[in-house]
Amino acid sequence: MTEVVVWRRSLVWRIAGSFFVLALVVAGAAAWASVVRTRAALREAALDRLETAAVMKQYQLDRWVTRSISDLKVFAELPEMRLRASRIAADLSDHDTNDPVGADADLSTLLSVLTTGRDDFRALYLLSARGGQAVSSTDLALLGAYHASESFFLGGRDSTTVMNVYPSPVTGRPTITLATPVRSAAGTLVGVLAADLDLTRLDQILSERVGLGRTGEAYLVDRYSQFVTGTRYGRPAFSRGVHTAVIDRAVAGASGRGEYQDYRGFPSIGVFKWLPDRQLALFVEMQAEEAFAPANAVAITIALFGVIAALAMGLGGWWMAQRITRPLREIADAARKVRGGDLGAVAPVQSQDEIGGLARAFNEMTGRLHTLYAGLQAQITETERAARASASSLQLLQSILDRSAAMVIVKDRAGRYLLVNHAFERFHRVSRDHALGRTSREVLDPAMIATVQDGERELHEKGDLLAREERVTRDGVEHVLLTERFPLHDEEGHVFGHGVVSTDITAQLLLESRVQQAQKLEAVGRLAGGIAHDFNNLLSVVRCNLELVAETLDEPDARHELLNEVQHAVRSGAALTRQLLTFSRTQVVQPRALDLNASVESMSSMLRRFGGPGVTLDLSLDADLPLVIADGNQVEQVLLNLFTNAVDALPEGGRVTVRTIPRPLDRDAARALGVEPASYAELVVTDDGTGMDVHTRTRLFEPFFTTKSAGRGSGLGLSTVYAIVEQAGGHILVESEPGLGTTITIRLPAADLGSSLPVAAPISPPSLARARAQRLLVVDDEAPLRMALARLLGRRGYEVMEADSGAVALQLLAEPGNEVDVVLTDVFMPGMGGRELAERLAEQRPGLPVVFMSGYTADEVLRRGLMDARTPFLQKPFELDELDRIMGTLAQRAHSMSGAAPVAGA
Amino acid sequence: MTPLLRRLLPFLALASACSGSRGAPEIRIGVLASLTGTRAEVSGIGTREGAEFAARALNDSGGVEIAGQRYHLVPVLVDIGENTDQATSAAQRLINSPDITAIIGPQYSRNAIPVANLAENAGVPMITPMATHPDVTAHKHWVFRICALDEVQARALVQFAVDSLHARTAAVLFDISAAYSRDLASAFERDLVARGGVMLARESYTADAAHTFIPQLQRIRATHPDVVFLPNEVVEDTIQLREARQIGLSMPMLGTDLSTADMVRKEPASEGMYLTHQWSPLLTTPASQRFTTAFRNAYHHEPLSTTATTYDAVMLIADALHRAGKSDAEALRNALSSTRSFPGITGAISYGKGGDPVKNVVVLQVLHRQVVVRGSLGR
Repeated sequence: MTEVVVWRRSLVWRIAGSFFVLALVVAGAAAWASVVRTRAALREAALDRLETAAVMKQYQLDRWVTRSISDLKVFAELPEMRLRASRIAADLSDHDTNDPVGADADLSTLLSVLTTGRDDFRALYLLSARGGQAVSSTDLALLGAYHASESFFLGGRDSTTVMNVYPSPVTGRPTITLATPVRSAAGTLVGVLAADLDLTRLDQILSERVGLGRTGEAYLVDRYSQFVTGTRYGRPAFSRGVHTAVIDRAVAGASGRGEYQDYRGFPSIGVFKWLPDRQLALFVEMQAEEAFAPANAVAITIALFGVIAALAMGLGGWWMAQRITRPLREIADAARKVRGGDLGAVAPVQSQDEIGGLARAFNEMTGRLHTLYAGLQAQITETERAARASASSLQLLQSILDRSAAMVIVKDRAGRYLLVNHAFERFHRVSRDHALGRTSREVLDPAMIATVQDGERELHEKGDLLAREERVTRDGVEHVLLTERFPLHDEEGHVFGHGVVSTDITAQLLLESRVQQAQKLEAVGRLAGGIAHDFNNLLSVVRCNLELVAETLDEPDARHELLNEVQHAVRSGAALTRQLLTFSRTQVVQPRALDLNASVESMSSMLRRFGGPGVTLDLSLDADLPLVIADGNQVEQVLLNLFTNAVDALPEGGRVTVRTIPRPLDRDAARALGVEPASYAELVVTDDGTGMDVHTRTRLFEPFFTTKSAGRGSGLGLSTVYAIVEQAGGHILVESEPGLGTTITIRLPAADLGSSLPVAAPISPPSLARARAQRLLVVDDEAPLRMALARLLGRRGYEVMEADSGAVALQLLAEPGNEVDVVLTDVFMPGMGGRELAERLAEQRPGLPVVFMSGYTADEVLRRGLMDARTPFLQKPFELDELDRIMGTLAQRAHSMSGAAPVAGA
Repeated sequence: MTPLLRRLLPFLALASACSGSRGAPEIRIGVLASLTGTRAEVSGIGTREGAEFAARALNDSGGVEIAGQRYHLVPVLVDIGENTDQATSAAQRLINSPDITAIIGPQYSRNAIPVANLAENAGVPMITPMATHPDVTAHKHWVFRICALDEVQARALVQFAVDSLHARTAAVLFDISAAYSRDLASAFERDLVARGGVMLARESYTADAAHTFIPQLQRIRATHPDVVFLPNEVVEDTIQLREARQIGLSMPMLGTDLSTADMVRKEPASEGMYLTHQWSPLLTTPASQRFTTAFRNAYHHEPLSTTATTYDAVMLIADALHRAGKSDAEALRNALSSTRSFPGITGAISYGKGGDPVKNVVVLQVLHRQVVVRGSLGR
C-alpha cells in the first residue's frame, strides 16, 4: 500500500518511474524482436544442417545395401559356389528325398572366407532349390531350417530379392535379408544364396553424429512403427512400436522438416524422410533447446543492457523531477497556510516560466480571497438567522396541520410532496418521511392514483380552487373524500405547486342516509298508524254487526258459512293493521335480557316445518354469544320474517343457514358503520337462493315494497324487522348478489349485565269466568260502532247505555237511576277524550271501573299519555270474549277488594 | 458375388462393425487370417466368419462389460496371405497399433510360431485357435491356444489305428519344410512304436516344389503298411489320396485337422479316410448343436472347425476382459491364464501352467462321401 501511496503522491517518483518503465519496455521489445529474428535464422540453419546429415545418411544406407547386394551377386556367380551348389542339388535329386544332407565342408569354408572381414553379413547361407533348406551356413543355428514359405526364398529362386527390414520369422528381430539365385553352368537353378545383414552397421551409420551437435540424433522406424536397430532386444521401452504425430506421418510415406515433439516428448527440430527403397522412415533431429541456445544468450544480453539503461534513465528522471517540483512544493506550502486560515501567505516567485506564472496567479488569488471572505462572513450570519426563523414557522405550521382531521398536502409543480400532515399519513398509511420528495405514483395505493391524477389535471385546466367529491377504495372499502385543490403561488405570482385539503366524509354520508331512512320510515309509520286506527274502528263495526247478523240466523242456515268467511277476512284485516301499528312503533314492547341462541333453537322445529322438505336449515350457534336486550316476541318475529324471505328466495329448494356470532365493534369499525361502538350479538341468516339486484337492495326496507306476487306478501316484513332492530338499538347489514344468495346480518347490542333489566310481566292465564249480567256504559263518538256494540252486548246479557262523547257520558251518569258497573270508553274522542273522562269519573264516581278501547295500540295510547297503564285496554276490533274476560276480572277484583260491596255495585 | 465384392467383404464387415458400435467405446481385437491364397477357403474365411459371428453375438447382447462400462468388441481382420514373412509383418503392424488389445491367430503353426515370438517380445496377449505345434506356446507368457496339441492328435490317431483298425505297421508322407507336418509325423511314429507298432516308411517333400508324390507313394507301397499317415495340408492331401488310389494303395489313410473334412469328402479318392479334428458340426453336445444351428441360420452353410475355435477365442477374450475388470494387456493375460472350465463350443477350456488347454480331438471318417464321427479321443 505504501508504495502505491508514494507513487500517487510524488511527482518525482512518477516521473522517475515512468522513465524507468519506458526504458524497460523498449529494451524488452528489442530483446524479444532479436530473439524472434535469431530463432528464425537459427532454425533455418539447423534444419539445413540436419537435412544435409539426413541426405548423407540416406546415401550411406543405400550404398551399404547396394554394395551388399552386388557382393552377394558376385558370391553367387563364383564358379566354386556354382559348382558346390550343383553338386548338392544333384545329391538331393538323386536321393529324391529331403533328408538333410551332411554339411559340405568345402562350401562352409567358402562361405566363411567370403564373409571374413564383412561384419555386416550376419549370416550367409545357401538354400536348397527345393524346400529352401539351409544346406550350408555361416550361422550354424540356421543350418537345416526350411524357408519354403518365405518370400525371399520364393523370390530369390528367380532373381535377386531384397527383404527390406522385416521381423524375421526365425529370430523375431528386424532383419534385412538378401537372396539371389545360384545357377549351374547349364543355367539351372541349384540353390539360393541368402544373406542376413547385420543391422549394427545400420546403427553405426545412424550414430555418426556429423554436424548434429550435442543432442542430435538419427534413427530409423520401419513401416510397422518399430525402431530399427541392430541391438539384440531392440528398445524395450518401445516393444509395441513408437507413435508420434510426425512418426506416423513419416511411416505413412511423408517427408518434411520442422519443429515437433520427439518420441520422448522433448521439443525438437528435425528432418524426416520416407525412404521408399528401404521402406523405412529416417529421422534426423536435435532438441530445440540446443538449437536455439544462441538466441537465448542474445536475449539475456539485451535484457541485461536494457535493465541497466532503464536504471540510468530512472535516475536521470528523478534528478529532473526534483528540479521541477521544488518551486511547486513551495506554492503548495503557501496554499496549505491559506487553508489553515492565513490568507496573507505568499508564494515565492522564482522564475519567469510556467511555474513562476503559477506562483503569481496564486498570490493574486489569495489577495482576492482575503477581501471576499470578510463580505461573506456578514452574509452568512444574516442567512442563518433567516433560516432559523423560517424553520420555526414551518414547524408551527406543521404542528397545526397535524391536528387537522382533514388531509393537508402541498405538492410542487412536478407533483412531488412538499408537505403532508398526520391525517394524510393515517389515511394512506405512509410515513411523512417516505412521502416527502416523492410523487403520488410512488407513494399511494395504485387504486387511488387515477383519482388523484384526475383531480390534478382538472385543477391544472381550471387554474383556480377546485372542490370535488372523490370516491377512492382503500382496503376494499369505498371512501368518499371531499377534496379541495388550489394552486400555490410564490412571491412573484408564479405557480410553484398546489395545495390539497381532503376530508373523509364517508361516515358523515352514511349517518345522513340513515337519518333520512329513519325519517322516511317515521313518516310512513305515522301515516300507517292513522290509517290503521280508522280501519280498526271500521272493522269493529263490521265485526259487531256480523255477530248481530249471525244471531238473527237460524242454526242450520247456509248463510252461517258466508258469515264465517267474512269474519275470517275481518280477523285477517285486524292482524294486518296490528302489524302496521307495530311497524309504526305503536305496539307494546317488553325488552329484557334474552339469549338469542335459545330463541333460535326454540323456533328451529317450527322453521323447518315452515320451510318444507326442499329447504335445509343449518344452525351454527356460538356458545359464547352474549345476551341481548330485546323483546322475545319481536325477536321471533324478526327471525320468522327473515326465514320466510330466505325460503321465498329458494323456489327450487336449497339451504338456509342461521348463525349467531359475538361481534365486538371497536371505535373505528363502529364509526365506519355509523353505529355506536359496543359489543354486539350477530344473528346471520344466509340463503343460497336467487339473491337481489341493486334496485331491490336499496328499497329493501321500504314499507309495502315487495317482490312477492300479490297476496303473498304485505311488504311489511322487512320494514318491521328494521323497525324492531332500530328500536332495540341494533343495526342491519345486507349482502346480496343476483344468483349468489343473500346474507342478512342483524346486530343487537349485548346486555350490560350490570344494569337492572325490566322484567316482563307474567302473562296471566285468561279467566274463564263468564261475566254476570252487568250494566255497561259504552262511550264512543263513532255512532255505527257504538250502536253495533251496544246491541251486541245487549244480546250477551249486558245492560247497555250509550254516550257519543265524554261530556254526554258524565251527564248520563249524573242522572239518578243511571247506574252502571263498568264504563267502556274510546280513547280518542272530540272534546273530552277517554282519559279525561276517566279522571272526572274518578272524582265523581270513585271506584267505578273504566275500560279503554281504541283503534290504536295500547302502546301508542300510553305513549301519548292518554291512558293510565293500569287501566284495562281493548284494542279494536276485539273479540267479545275478551271483553267478557275483563268484565270477569273486574268483578272478581271488586269482590275481593270490597267484600260484600262490589265495585260494580257501588 | 463379384470377385471384387468378395475381396472387399472383410473391409465392409469391419466398417459396419465400427459404425454399428458408434456411441459405445470399443475393444479392438486383431484377427490374423489367410484371406487370400490357397488357404482362404479352408481356413481364412472360416476364421473371419467365426470372429464376426462371435462379435455380433456379443455386441447384440450389449457388448463386453468391463468394470461396469459396456464396450463393443470389434474384430480387426488382417490378411496374412500365404507366406510366413507376410504373417510376421502383419502381426508386427497389429502389435504396433496402440488400440489393439489382443491378437487372435494365426491358424497355421508355421505362421503362429514366429508371430507368437513377436507377441511375446511385445507383451501382447495372443490366442491361436488352431495352431497345434508345441513351439507356439512353449516357454511363452503371453500366448494361448484353443485347440488340442499335435501330440493329442497323434496319440488319438495311433490309438484309433491300433484299437479300431488293428493296425500294426504304418507309413508316413509329410511336408518336411512344415514344422507341423514334421512334428506330427515323428509324434505318430513315437506313439506307434510305444504301442508295439512299426513305422515302415518315412517319405517327405517340400511344399514349394511338390507337384506329384508318385515316387514317394511307390516307395510306401513297396513296404505294405497297414495304414498311411498324411499329416499335410488339404491341397496336398487331396493330390496324395488321388495318386495313392491311382497306384493301387487301398489301405486306410489317416489325416489331421489340416485337412478340412468338408473339403476332403468332395474328393472321391478320400472314401474311407480317417481324420482328426478339433471340432465338428456333427458333434451332438448341446453347445455344438446350438452353435451349428445359429451359424447355419446366419451364413447358410456349415461352420468349419476353424470357425468354432475362432468363435471360442473371441468369447474367451471377452470373458477374460470381464473377469479382469480392465482392458490393459497385463490384466487380460492374467485373466486368460486363470481361466478355469470356460464353456467353449469346442469343449471346456482351462489353462494350467502354460497356454495349452486339455482338450479332446474328434476322429471322423469319410463314408460314402459323407463325414461321420468315429470317436472323441484325448489324453
